[in-house]
Amino acid sequence: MSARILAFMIGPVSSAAPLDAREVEHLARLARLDLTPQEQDNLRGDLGRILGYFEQLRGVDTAEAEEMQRPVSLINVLREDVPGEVLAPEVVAALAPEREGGFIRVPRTVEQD
Amino acid sequence: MLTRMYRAVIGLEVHLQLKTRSKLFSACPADYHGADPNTFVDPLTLGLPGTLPTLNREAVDLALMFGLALNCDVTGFTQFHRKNYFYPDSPKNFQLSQYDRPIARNGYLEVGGARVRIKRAHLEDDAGKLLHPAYAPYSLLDLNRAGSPLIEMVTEADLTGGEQARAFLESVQAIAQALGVSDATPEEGKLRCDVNLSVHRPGEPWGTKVEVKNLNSFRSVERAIAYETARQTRVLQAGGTVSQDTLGWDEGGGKTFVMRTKEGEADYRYFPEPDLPPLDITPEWVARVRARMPELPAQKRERYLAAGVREADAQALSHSVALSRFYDAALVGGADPQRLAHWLLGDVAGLLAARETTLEASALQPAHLAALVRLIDEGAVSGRVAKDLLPDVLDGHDPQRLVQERGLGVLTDTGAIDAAIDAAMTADPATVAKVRAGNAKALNALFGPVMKATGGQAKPEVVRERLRAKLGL
Repeated sequence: MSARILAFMIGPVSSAAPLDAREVEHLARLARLDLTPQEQDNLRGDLGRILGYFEQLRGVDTAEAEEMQRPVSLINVLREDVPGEVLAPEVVAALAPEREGGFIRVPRTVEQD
Repeated sequence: MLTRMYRAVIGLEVHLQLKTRSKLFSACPADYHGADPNTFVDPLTLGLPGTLPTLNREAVDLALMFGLALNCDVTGFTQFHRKNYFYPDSPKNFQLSQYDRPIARNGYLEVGGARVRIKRAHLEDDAGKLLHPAYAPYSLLDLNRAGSPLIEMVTEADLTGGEQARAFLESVQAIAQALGVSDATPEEGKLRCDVNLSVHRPGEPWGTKVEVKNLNSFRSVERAIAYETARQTRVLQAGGTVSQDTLGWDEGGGKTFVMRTKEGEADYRYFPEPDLPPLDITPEWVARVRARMPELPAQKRERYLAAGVREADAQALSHSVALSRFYDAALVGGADPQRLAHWLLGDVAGLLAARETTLEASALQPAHLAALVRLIDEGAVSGRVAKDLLPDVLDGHDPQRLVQERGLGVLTDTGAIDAAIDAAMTADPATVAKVRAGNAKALNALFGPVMKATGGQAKPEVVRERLRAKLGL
């Protein structure tokens, strides 16, 4: 889709109804992101613009349109239960930020006893 | 007074790991049990960019089979939703689960005469496993389990006690195993149970419920229910309030504890999975799945009861795939059904347990056990001889051949029995005198030595009859 058509469809973007600081904090907590106040501020602006697009979409009259959850109307697409390949352990290990034995080391998820 | 008593209101959530060869949404092999960590992993398991899920047909069929066995509605539209959460056990940052249209709905299971309603059963993928080494500032992740297929089954709050919950879970386990849907072994984590429990006085509204998570044995479920019922009752009787917590179960301490929950608040932002087309389960599809379904434990039980097997034995046989398969094969041998069940669940089970082995691992042939029971039924060997033969029969020997080889048939030679009686009488003149003086009961003191002298091969009734004759009774 060309930028011209996209601009026609969504029009000039306004950063309407920005998120408040608490909403950004909540989202950061769910995403387990540790954000500086500056980063939170930037995100408020970015997310506000994204929400602005959706505000515009919401303005379109869809009373006559059929609800569509997926872009392609396929149904009953299945795979036979046949086992395939696994990744070589060294490939998996190389993708892990930290390792111990065959395990992937991650920040501790439960409190110490 | 009874009406003032608090009663528990219990619902269960059961996760069963499906017995497929590959994972739910990719061809990654699923048979990871006992494997080194992170060796059953493919790009989809890791949630690598560009990967797309493809649904395992067998997982759908197994879920349908399970749903049908629980008397659920399974036809019609069903789809997957993304359940978003960020946690190290799921590198793709969401679980593919079902939300508004689970694959199975509105079923029930009869347990001990009571009907437990099944709210829903849905398909979802499992997460990886986190280990938390003591004193380490980190956790360890194994992704072998990530992406393997699960059924999550949720009951209505129709259960009232631990014993009933256990019976329900045993039924679910028996059904899953009979269908080959899941190994359903709690000790391997292939059947996991969470309990929702509140207490109230009959006639009053339900109390605040707690959720007890990660119960990894039926015994734990039963104990946790007893503990929570008592604890909540105590709190309420003391005028306190039950707080709506997520609890863990401390098996060693025999008590529940408040768990820190995974998410501060549930905010999963479910949405229909765009990468997976929905399913339309047609009546033809259901018929195909139904045709694959073997006899269910409840049907087996009815069949055994009709054949004259006692209730407890019929229940035990029907709940075990291995036992019922063996028993059915042995029934063909024409032995009395109840006596066959009695031998299988009694002497055979006892000997297997003593040898720390299982029916499947032993060399015992169904036809051989049937032959052994028939030998007793026909009076060809005594019960005692049969018991003596059992260890060898368990090792794969044919009992008929053993009887022939060892000359163990019932002693029909009355001469030999008479000789044994004479010897016993000579050895115990005091008893003989008592009997002759009119004490008929004293006869029993002679009976034992005669049976012993004949190696247990003499027919007891013949020995008794000839003893009485000799002593003029």
